[in-house]
Amino acid sequence: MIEAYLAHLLVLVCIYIVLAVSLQLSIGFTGLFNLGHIGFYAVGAYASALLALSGQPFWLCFLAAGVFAGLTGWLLSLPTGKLKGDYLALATLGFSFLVYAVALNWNDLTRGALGLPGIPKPELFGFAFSDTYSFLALAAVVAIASYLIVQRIASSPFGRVLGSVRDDELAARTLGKNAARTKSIALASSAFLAGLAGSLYAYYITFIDPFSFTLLELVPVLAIVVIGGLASLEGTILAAFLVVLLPEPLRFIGFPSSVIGPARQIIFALLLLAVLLYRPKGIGGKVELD
Amino acid sequence: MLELRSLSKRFGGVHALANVSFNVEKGSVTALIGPNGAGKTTLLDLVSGVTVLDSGSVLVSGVNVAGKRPEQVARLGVSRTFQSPRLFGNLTVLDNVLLALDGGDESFWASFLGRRDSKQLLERAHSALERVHLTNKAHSLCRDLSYGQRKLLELARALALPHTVLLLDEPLAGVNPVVRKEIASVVKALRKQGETILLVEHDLAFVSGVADRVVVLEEGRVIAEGTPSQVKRDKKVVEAYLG
Amino acid sequence: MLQILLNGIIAGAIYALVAAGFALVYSTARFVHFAHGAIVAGGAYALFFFFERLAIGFWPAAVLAIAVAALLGWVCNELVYKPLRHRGATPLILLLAGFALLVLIESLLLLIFGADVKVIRVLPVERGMDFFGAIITPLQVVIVVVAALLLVGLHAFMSFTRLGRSLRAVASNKVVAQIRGISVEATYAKAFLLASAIAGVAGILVGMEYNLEPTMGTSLVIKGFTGAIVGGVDSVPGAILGALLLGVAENVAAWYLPSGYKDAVAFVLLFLFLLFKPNGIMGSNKGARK
Repeated sequence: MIEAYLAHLLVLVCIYIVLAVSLQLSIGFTGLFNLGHIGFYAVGAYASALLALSGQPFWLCFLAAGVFAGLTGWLLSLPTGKLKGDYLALATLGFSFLVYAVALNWNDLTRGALGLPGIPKPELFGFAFSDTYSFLALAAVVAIASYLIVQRIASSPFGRVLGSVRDDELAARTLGKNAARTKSIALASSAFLAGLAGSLYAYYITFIDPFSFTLLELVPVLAIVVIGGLASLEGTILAAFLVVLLPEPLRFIGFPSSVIGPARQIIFALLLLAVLLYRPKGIGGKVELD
Repeated sequence: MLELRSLSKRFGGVHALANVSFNVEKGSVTALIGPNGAGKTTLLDLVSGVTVLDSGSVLVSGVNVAGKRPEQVARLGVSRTFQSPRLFGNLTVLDNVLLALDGGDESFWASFLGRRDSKQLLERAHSALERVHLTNKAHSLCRDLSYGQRKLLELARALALPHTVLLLDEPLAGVNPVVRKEIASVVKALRKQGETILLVEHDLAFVSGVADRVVVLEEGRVIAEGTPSQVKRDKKVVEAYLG
Repeated sequence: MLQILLNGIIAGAIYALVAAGFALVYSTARFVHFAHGAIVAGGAYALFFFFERLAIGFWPAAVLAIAVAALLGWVCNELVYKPLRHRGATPLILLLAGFALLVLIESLLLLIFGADVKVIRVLPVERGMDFFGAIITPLQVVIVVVAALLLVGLHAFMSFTRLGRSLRAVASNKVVAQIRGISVEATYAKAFLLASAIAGVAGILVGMEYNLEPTMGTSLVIKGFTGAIVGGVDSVPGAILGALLLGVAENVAAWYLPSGYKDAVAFVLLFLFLLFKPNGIMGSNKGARK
């Protein structure tokens, strides 16, 4: 029983790792203050769930989740490419609310507030990931792969171009770099991975509704990125464990769930503030934004 | 090599540049001087595409770059520095130079193939750093450099970018005498190598030593043009500087 | 049609109070004070607590609610924003901190007051009056009148008092203001007090007209900054105009679209203005995209 509970927590850690390392790709490595990450997560979850419910195989739904989210990211990057700093943050935040509003109101497609129940468990090569342990293995593979992908991108010559755009966009352009295109690619690949996280979540919980994708969901992800430190992937992974596991003791003390919910958010918010105030670089932050 | 034809730019109601024309011959150094606010930096911004001009044309090796975006102008052979250096602060000194060099594959998909910088590329980057004596700083972060070192690095980076014309915005400004001497000697060496340079500078002694031609701007207009000694004797120039 | 316009103006009047405070902080301190919505919510819940729970009478409760809101805003500035500014934090970091504060305050409200919807009954529910064929309740008349008086008062305050002038001086040029002997930090603190007191009034009006929910702050701050951006974020009169436009646009849209999309109107408007007119209708150039 306790093992199953631990495995459940670790699945959540894996999903948050995928979300947080992909958010690092846009915030930490490219300097795009993207607050629309939950929107991409939602697009991936809905794309995956709808396809799975229509009987499509797991691999297709999973990939489609990434592709749909990535395309959304690409489209979002086109009009917002010119925006800087806090204006981009507000615009992407607006985008994630828009996704939420569509999920809540497009009843014919998403069933609105009723949500989408009965998402089948994933199956690959005849093997069904039906219990928590096998799902954990799947989630761990996706989390490790996301880490490796982002790590590879960041340490490549392309990653260096990302860094130049982050540090001084105009200077990068005077060196002949196409900053707009670079930012689009970064946002699209960040969104692609967030979409994969959404698919994992939908398959794991087997039920999604718009309320899983509110602004509040962004808080733990942002907390992980800030605590881990900008552009630090190792820090991000450590922080994912910390943020998911830290509020868990509340359960054992025996608080009712009506207390645990807000108490978790309070812990995340206080952590976020404490890091911003007292340790602005987090665990292993490598860059300073200015 | 670089031909400016009736460049004009207004900011609000103010003429920053009005009908400015002159040429920079291949392999020559042209210095742009004038009082503060004369429009010197604006002119470099217009040529490099950083600021969009209102009218006029800028020919680089015969190609009109007016109205093109900075990255396009850069690829057409214009390399520049800024008055206060614009480096990539969270990247290393080496990375800053590598970003300017051509010959690597910086595409997104290449990053998955695990392509790294070739040995030859790294060698070129190191020799670019050697020129400004920053080799021992190659792996330091730019934000840890002193102001003078930043100026030197930005110069090395501008040289590393494949170019036909070099625009230098006050290369000597704000640095201590030692670095000043070093930058001055690099610029002089560049002239010997036959680089085509347009530079903005206040230090007239340096300008007369290095420039083949001098263009004097005042309130957005060219008020004098010629060799350093011709310009020094020009009445209008003396008035602009002393009056 | 007149009814739609009227409903729009009533909603817009409340948004205008939020937007005016938001723009006041933005124009002086130059960052997005995301927690501003939570201050409004704090004011509304304070009214609920003093008036419904302690039953101390409306006027004392209202005064206390305004005081609580002003204090809350001041504390946010003193404990979080000010130390961050001292460290030279960027506007983005301040935005992030504001987001954490918003989540913190909302979660505290949720913890203290519970998730159920609260109602404040100050005036008996009366039948609306007929106003050229449209219906308006006495409370709604009060809301519009109070908001209008307060906004006119704010304008007069900004134009004719010493503090108002120093606020504007800091807004237009920090360095020059400092040279003229104005303490920038002290001015920021006063801007927060003033903006938060106005937010307290907005909270009271919201609490009387609509129901209270802990998450109301998020939606209000988004309405507030949308209004501010539509009107011009560094112009307080512009922000008020923008907020009124938003209120009307929402109600017009609700007439044609499913009601669930009403909240999405703000984002669409925010998005369009950020992209095509980031300085807003009345804003100057210096606020945006620096």
